[in-house]
Amino acid sequence: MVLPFLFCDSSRSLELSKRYGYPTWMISRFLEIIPDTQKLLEALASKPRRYIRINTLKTKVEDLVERLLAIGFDIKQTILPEVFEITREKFSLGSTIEYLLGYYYIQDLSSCLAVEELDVSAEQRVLDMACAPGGKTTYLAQKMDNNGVLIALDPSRKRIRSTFYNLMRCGVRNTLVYQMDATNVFRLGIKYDRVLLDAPCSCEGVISKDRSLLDNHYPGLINKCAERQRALIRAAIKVTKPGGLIVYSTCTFAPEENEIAINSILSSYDNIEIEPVTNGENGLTTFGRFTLNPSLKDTKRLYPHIHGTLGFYIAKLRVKNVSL
Amino acid sequence: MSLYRKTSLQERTVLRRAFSKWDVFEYFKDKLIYVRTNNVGRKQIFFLPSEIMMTDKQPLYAGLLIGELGKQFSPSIQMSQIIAKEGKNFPSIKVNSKGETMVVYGRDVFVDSIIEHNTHRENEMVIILNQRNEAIGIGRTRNKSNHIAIKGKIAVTTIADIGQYLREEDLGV
Repeated sequence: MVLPFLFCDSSRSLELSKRYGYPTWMISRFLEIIPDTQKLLEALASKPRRYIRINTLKTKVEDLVERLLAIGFDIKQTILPEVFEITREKFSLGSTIEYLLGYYYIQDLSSCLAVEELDVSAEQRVLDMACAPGGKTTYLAQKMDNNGVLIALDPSRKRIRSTFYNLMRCGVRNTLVYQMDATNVFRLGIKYDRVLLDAPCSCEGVISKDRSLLDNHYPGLINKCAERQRALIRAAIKVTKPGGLIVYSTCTFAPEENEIAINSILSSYDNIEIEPVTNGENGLTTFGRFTLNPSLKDTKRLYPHIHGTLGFYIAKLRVKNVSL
Repeated sequence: MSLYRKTSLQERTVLRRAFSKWDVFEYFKDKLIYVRTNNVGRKQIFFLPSEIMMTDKQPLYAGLLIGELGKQFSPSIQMSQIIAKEGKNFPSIKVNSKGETMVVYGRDVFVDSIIEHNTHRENEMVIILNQRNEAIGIGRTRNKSNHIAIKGKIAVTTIADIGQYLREEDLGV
């Protein structure tokens, strides 16, 4: 298969490309898959919304809300009880006493939704395959009430240092951090009830946070990321207990890294099925010349101009109990 | 390569004494404590929930770093927060909001910022609390408490604080 799939330029794609400063090939792809592409480009050109997730390992939601209001922040409840949108910042969110005390984590709602979908509980063995800088790891620990076992992996020692700081700041104690390429996770010899794979990706969905991502974006990058992601999903399946759950997520719009990656897994494994994700737009079931597994509609896409989050994709894979 | 291991009898004795001093002996009674010697040869003490298990392959980090062990136990910031929450009678000073700002920038505590204190010894390690009784740092007393009323003098040297990591990160340490 030749990846990624490129479309012919149109007058519309040329116009939007010129107006918003994107490569034409990207815009042509966006026009094929994203509703209201121009609104998306406008959303990506403005500052993304800011969210915090309250760390209930250290404080109570109502107590922190009261404190933040008292020091001049305006906040708004989201669909998750511990996640709030910051609508007015009196000073930097990352420099308050409450932040330093680990009472909250600055984290996009989309990331929190991925963790929410994993449905973890206190007695489970959970794996976070790409943990740095620790946002989802600390949320998992919070959901597990600091019990059970949480294994967190990252290949970079430097990034693990910031993960460690965040784990400590948030008071996490149920986590073992390994410096490891996640494709080798089977070497730990552990089987997990839940696996979170927030895969390294081409990051199209976070351009609003870092415009320089556009300078390093090229079609081959999507191809490279997609290959790596498939290897990671296979590694995740290998270590998940029968009946266990894998949540796969990326912060990109590229179908090759999202639905097409999952589609190839569904074609190769009989014991994997898609479970519906609650929030977002339905996943794609066609893309260019590809017709994908219809169950991929149950995966979800989050868009900045529709959901107020960063661009995100979430798929939920159940490893079936295979009776012999 | 730093390895996690269980504490030796001698280490357990020092730790028990320290937990008692910080009034968290009961809290840590059934808890699982591991030791790791870091790259510069310092013994770091980690607290793990009892359910956690070690595999043959050693992790880079496991559990919550609660302090370092030399001849004595030096609590970490995370430990100071456990002490502030679980302990009732431990060496501490409470600072006003100006003092709080100074401490999280790594500055020492002036007498004028101290609202309360229960320490009576020179060169004693103390938990620095803000007005909400939250641990924001760890310090060492410079003067005996009966001297603590001399305005304009530094009363406590800050040796660790909750803003430390971010400052180090900004400096690229």
